[in-house]
Amino acid sequence: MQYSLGMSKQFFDNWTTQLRKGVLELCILSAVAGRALYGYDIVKKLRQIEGLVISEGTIYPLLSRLKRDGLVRTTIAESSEGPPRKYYQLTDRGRRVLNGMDQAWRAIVNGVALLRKEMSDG
Amino acid sequence: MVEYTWQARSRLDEYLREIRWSLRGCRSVDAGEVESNVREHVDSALGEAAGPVDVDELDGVLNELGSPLQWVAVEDLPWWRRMLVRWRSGRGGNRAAWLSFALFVLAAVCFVYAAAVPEYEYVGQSMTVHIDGRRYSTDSTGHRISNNSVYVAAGLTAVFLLASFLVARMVVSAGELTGQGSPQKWLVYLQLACVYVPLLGCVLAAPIAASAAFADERSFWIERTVDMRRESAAELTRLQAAGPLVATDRPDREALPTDLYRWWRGRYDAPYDSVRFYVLWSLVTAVVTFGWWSAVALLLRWRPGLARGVFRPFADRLDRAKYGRIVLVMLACTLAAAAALAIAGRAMRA
Repeated sequence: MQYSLGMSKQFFDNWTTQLRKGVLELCILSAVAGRALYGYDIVKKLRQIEGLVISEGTIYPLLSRLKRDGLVRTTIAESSEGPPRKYYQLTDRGRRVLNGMDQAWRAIVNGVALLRKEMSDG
Repeated sequence: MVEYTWQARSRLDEYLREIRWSLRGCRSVDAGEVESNVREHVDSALGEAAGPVDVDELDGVLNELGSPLQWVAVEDLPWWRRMLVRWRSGRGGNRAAWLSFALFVLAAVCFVYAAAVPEYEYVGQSMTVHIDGRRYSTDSTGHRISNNSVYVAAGLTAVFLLASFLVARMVVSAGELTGQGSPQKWLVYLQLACVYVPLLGCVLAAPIAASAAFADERSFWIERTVDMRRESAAELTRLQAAGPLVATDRPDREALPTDLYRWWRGRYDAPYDSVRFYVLWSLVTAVVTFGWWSAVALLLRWRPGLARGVFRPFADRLDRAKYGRIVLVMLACTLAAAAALAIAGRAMRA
């Protein structure tokens, strides 16, 4: 990636996309950590975080990949509102990965906050 | 269970097909699972709709879901799509677009050569006869040989043009896969237009071309010209029995009219008239052409993906609402032409 003074909107779009992609996985795993949720419930939860989900459909391939990697599992349950739904739940492996991601996330957030505080102070 | 109008059902099916296509070959994603999740998502989002869900309501949900082409990261794409994306966005700019443009330039050069160079060459000697110091005749003892390079150039024109078109389509597809607009789209639009414009012309002008092919009045109203002096008495009797012969511009000949001519006389009770023929013919052509365009627009309103697929990316912004407006305008034109035909026919009878 090349940096220049006149960096384009495309540069920031790509940068935001990369940032969002990593955070989205963390958020999906966090969303299904508490209790099993079905796809649309996960989307509704993530929708509350402004700027995180631009295309809601991106969540479904991610869920499929997390399932293939063994981080989440699915169960089918009857629904009173229509046909049976597929619920996603964190696996033990997923929980360990989430803990690791969580630690890394906190370290980054704290580090960046500290750096920005130092810059603004002095 | 959510109910959909037929247009909404068709739109949803089209969207699901797009999902299957965009996830084809992705190693990390189960396309069937994603499709069932999206079905569930749409049903849940529209579950509280009072009546059958229409296209506008469905489009609201599908717009939130976004284009399936942008759902998967480049590294998860199959190798051939990754190659396209990297090729397109690699250092040095849009290489595929430049390649397409270069192939198009080669096609143009070959075309100019094939058009400018004579197909045959004459090789040999000219012979001039001189008698008493004056030139009386010139003759050639040479022979004609065909210039094979012209045929090669014509063939290469087609090959380069096709290749430039295919690469241009790849560029457009790669732009969609990465979710970015093509920064050098003008490098590929010309190649696409060279194929799209004739194709569109063939589709739209089909009834006009068919009409023009039959619009020669002579092919309709004179079956054959009869030389009255040469025909045998028996043949003349047979011809007279078939129907009245009509006079031609030669006094010794008459013409055997066709069924169209007889129909004309029966309907209008007037001698055949070229101007009237062409007025009626034009109006019939207008009715058929506008009717054909209405049918095409109606088909595209039902399946807008058809035009988007064939004329990508130029038809991307044409949606059902726009096709619906085109259908209405074309139907109005069809009715107007039919009314004009009826009025013209009545006026001629009067």
